[in-house]
Amino acid sequence: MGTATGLGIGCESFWEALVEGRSAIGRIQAFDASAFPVSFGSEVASDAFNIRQVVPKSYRKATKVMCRDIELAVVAAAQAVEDAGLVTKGTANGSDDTPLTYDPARMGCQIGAGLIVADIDELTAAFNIARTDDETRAFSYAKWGNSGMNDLTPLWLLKYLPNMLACHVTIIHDCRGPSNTITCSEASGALSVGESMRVIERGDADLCFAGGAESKMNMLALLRQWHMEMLAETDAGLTDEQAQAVVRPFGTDAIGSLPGEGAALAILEAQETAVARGTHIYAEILGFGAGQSCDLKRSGLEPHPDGQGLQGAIRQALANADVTADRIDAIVPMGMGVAVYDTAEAAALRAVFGPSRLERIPLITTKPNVGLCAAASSAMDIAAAACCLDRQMLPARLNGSAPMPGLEADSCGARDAQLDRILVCGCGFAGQNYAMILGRAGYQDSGKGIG
Amino acid sequence: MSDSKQRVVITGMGWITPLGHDIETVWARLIAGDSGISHTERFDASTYPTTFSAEIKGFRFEDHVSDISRHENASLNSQYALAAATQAWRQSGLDRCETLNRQRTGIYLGAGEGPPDFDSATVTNLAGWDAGGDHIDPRAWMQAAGEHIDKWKEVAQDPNMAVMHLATEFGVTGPSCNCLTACAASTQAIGEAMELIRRGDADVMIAGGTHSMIHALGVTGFNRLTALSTRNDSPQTASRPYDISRDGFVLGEGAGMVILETLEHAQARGAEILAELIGFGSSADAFRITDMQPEGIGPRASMEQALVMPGWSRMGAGRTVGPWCITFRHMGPVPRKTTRPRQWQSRPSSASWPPRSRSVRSSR
Repeated sequence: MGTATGLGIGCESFWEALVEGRSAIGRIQAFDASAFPVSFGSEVASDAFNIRQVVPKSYRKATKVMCRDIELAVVAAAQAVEDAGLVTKGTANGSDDTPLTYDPARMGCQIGAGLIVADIDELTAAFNIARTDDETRAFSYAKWGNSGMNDLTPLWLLKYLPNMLACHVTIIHDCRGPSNTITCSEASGALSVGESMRVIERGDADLCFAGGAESKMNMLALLRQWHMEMLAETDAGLTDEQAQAVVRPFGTDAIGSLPGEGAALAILEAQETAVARGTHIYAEILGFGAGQSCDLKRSGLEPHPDGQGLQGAIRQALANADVTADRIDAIVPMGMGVAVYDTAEAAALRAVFGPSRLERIPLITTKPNVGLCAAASSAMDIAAAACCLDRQMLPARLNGSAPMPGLEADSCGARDAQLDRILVCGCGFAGQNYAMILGRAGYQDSGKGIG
Repeated sequence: MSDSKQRVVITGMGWITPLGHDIETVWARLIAGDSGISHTERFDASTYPTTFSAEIKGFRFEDHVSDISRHENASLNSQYALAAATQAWRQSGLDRCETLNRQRTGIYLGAGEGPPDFDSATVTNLAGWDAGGDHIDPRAWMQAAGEHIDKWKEVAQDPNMAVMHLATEFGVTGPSCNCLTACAASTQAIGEAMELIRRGDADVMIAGGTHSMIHALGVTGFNRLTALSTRNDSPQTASRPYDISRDGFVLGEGAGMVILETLEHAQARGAEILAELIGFGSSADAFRITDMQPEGIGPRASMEQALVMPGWSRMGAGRTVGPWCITFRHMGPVPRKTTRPRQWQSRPSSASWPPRSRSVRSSR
């Protein structure tokens, strides 16, 4: 697995911070956000990586056409390849002697992405050339077509297409199998992992890069997330410590989420090929389900309060994994800290698990630590679940001091735990829901997993 | 295992295209050899390198969808999607199917982002421009954004909004997804929707795509890439696929939708079966961001996948379409003027034919 979050580069930094209960939320550095309704978020530090050092030497030129979202995906992919001990075209560094771990034709890539915002300074410098000469100094289409647009680099469009994340990753690592780019807001990452699972399951690939990446750390993306009613209004005078207490998943006092950026990519492999090459296995994907919910009666932006689509997704995942709800040991819900979404998720969980069982299942939430990273969010949650299964440990739950009734389990620090199966689920903006059940590596084969 | 998988058929179709706003009209005009390409009217493109496109004209949302008040803030993309999907839904007879299990009915679209609010963007960005420093002043920009940027026009641009509108219109809560892989997106969506049904995750799927990039920024992007034809004096002869005199593509817009369902489901309700999907493949070129691998390894790989898909042996059964193959190019086609036309090289070579199949999963 590979992650790039405000907590650091690489899955280890993510996991350590979750266990220690650290949050990456702080004052936004990417631009002066003091006049914005939201001026705090979780950023990947500007010195956390140098993209030119991350890609093979022969590919450095291409970093010029990588926007932030692409960079994050490329960094997470490099981390994931290293963590999985893979030799790809990208790690072999031009040497033909090193045998590749997998046939490129059997490697797929499904990376969730968002609507990417063009660099505002580059675009506006070009707009500025297209102003009329009269005193209005207004934008002129005629001048734009004649001269303004020529100020944009010829490859301008290619920096911002959502499928360029997978494009660069597949070129660097020479993945020629099935490839897709899922754009379903916060659900994108998990839906991509689900699709990768299906691709491998049906025999179209042996390995897939799967997950998501997105950055909300620019003016227009931040404003859009605000307009989607996802974010808490923050006073620019807050301290970082105060801002870190703002995101309260399933809190009765929830006031909204805070923006984030990052990437999380998992390397999924067919069990037979992973076992054959003797690699470390974090977890096994046991089941997956998806569903749709929306409630246009309430402004069109919010999920149905009953969490109907999510209920269906969770039931589908349970059936797919051939387990009953009482065999789930922990849950990683989206838990944005946005009341309408949390309410829908809580309703779905109550309906599936029953109130008495639900109040005893530990909940793992990552948004207070890394913010709402849009397309990357649900992939980060899957990475967290896989780490929990691998380490047999539950991380600390932040900002859970006033939970909604029935969702108060484990509002405390990290602890060791016997974990065989974890449910990762949630709903995102525009109503796409996902549910994935991960199992401890080898558990299914030990005989105990039946039933 | 594979043999127990469901067969998947098409029972409804819908089209909103520059040639017309329903299947019959578009088909008749295709047969007649008509073109939907003419000078761009959507915005003032008169000084652009390319001044023509294939626009949808005379489209009235209210003619296609019974209650448009439920879709107040739908972008053009979502409107096209709703109109095309409504045609498909009606043709399939699902509007009259009282026994439809809506939890087992899903959506998989290859919908693009909605058109940007370009006029607000120019006004806001220019108001926030600090000419001295050659950059945006975020405080001035935010103030201008508060005056000029429309919340709903921003929100409507999210690529998954079309899925939400369709779910609301048809009341379906099964698996839903949206992919965005440029020109390959809607075929990939239909292919993955078929796979979802074959896997048993849904009985019925609404699948297809919708997109419009005929706007000031979209045409800018493709013109900067020199991807568009510039035969401004002859728009209708400008699009010349596989022709040695080609000079780029012509930008169009629209939506195409199909209703997919299991053969069993279609037969049980007596639906007319229009075609059967029997193969799907997807691949990546993994070559360069600007052009395709010259030997066509990407298209070849996806065609091979589609051809060996279980179900191939059923070619004789009824009417069939296929193979569905996807060439995954990660971007719009960029047949630049400088590119020499290449010979089509995607025929499988004997060395790799048939491709190796997966031992544990193959039905044969």
